[in-house]
Amino acid sequence: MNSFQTISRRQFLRATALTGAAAVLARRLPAQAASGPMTAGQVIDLMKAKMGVKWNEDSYRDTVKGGDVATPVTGVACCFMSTLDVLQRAHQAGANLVVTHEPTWWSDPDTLTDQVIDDPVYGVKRDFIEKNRMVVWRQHDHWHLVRPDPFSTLQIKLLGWEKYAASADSRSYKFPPTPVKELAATIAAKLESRSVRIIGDPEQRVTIVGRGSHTLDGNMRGLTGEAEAIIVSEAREIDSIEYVRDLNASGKKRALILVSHQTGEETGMTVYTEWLQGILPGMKVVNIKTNDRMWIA
Amino acid sequence: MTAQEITLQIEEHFGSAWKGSGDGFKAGDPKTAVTGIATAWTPTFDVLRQAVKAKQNLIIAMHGPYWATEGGGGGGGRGRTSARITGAAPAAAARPAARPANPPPALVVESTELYGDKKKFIQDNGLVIWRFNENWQSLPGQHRLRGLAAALGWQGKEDAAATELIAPVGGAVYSVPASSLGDFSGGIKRRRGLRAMRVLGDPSAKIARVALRPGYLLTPDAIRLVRNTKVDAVVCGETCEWEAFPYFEDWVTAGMGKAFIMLGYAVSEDPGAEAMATWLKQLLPTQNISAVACGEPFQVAKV
Repeated sequence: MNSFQTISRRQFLRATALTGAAAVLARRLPAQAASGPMTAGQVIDLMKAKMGVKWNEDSYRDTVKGGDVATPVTGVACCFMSTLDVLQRAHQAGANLVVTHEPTWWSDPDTLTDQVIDDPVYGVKRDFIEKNRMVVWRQHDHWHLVRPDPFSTLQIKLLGWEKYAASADSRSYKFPPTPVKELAATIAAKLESRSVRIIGDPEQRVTIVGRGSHTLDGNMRGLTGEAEAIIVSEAREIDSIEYVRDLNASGKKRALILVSHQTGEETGMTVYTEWLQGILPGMKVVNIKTNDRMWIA
Repeated sequence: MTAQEITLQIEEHFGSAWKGSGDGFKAGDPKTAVTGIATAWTPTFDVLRQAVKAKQNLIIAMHGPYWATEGGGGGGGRGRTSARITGAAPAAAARPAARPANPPPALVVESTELYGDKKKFIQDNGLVIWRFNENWQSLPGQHRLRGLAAALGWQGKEDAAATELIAPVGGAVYSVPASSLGDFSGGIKRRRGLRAMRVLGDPSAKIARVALRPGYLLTPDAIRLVRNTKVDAVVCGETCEWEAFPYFEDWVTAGMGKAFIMLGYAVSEDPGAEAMATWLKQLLPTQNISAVACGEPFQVAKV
């Protein structure tokens, strides 16, 4: 993205030598770092330093999930979620540092319980990471704090909705009256998903459309204002979906367009890829799409 | 009989096995004289209306009427999904994630107009709502699971030995006539009249052995369902798309399994409400008891 600063690695090393925090970082760099390939740890430290967000070292999400940070980086692959399929395609693309937005080990804190460690699927995935000298680092909490919101900038462009944005944060839109099913079909086509669902009346013509969230709190909030419909990336049936169903049953016509978590956030990591290409100009940096693999029977 | 007398009779059936949980009265006056009992997965507005129409004023359901906010957690919270639902490790969950500096205050369910409307409907119609979930699930016989299996036409197809492995997590294994995933999922869709059932897997993959587990599936249970059960597919209600769902993606990519199907939470639980009504009729033979289906809440995006 144009708004992100672009500097070379050498410039970065020179610039960071001037600040206290960066001096700590520089001390950790091996002496030969200036000539040899960067290690995964160095690339991670660079990303942390350049994101422009105050780093929260207590984040249990944004940590290394697999591999050795001393590994020299052959290339970086950015993705929505480090599924085995994504790891395989990252490896094929010649990248061994994977930056993933979502978990690797199937729980939010990537907790390696005895049950997970004993699981054959875990064995296959861990062996693939180790055999191919890969490193997996999660980048969730901090990238969500960057503004303008990287999860909406590219998505709204792909949807062709920039001209309908009704708020500075692009979380509210004003359309000419449009059936909910048409908005849903646009999302399905432009964001390449086969699993878009609607709660409410697909024929309802709406003008003011907002964004909801994964939580009931966020979706109640999204529907308390003038929005006739909200777009939501993954929400739970027992709270958000039944709330909207009840809202319609109570006589208030409101629609919720439900897209998969991947469909809602994939583009945020495409933006991440462009940002990382900007701060690592000599490095191979690729975007590996997770893709929505769900289909409606 | 009053609602309280009826629920005491249910609790007495369990005897010392009745366990303290989120089960109990969630709305209405327990001293209300009962005219009939409606069972449901969750007491949606529509379920309440149908119960009133059938002159049933006691609703026995697996959840309370206010979108799973009863007993704390499960929605309305500030987190992405509650720890109760995601099964996140408590130690890790206690550590803070990065948050915006000035988050807006939480919007409580009780402050919404819909809460007021639903509460008024319950009061105006003298309804009583009793939650029957953890204890219902603890009954021997797996009524909820077997109700769903029967609705799918799988009764008599159970593999007892494999089922034993996953019964502790509420699942069972079925041998079904071998067919492609496309035909298998299409069959379920037509049989249950579904619009938005979601499937992962190659439509041409052969499916002959299936693990079934109604409800919302957490990762530890997901791992358990496929461990040593040699199933081609897992069928459940709903799961988290960044926890158990990618487990099944990886399970399929690794070549260990072929397919994962999400019927929808409500869809997977409606037959269990029928099973609950059947069970209650044996305990309370003189009462007017029937199940109310919540139905599938989803439409698909076809133009």
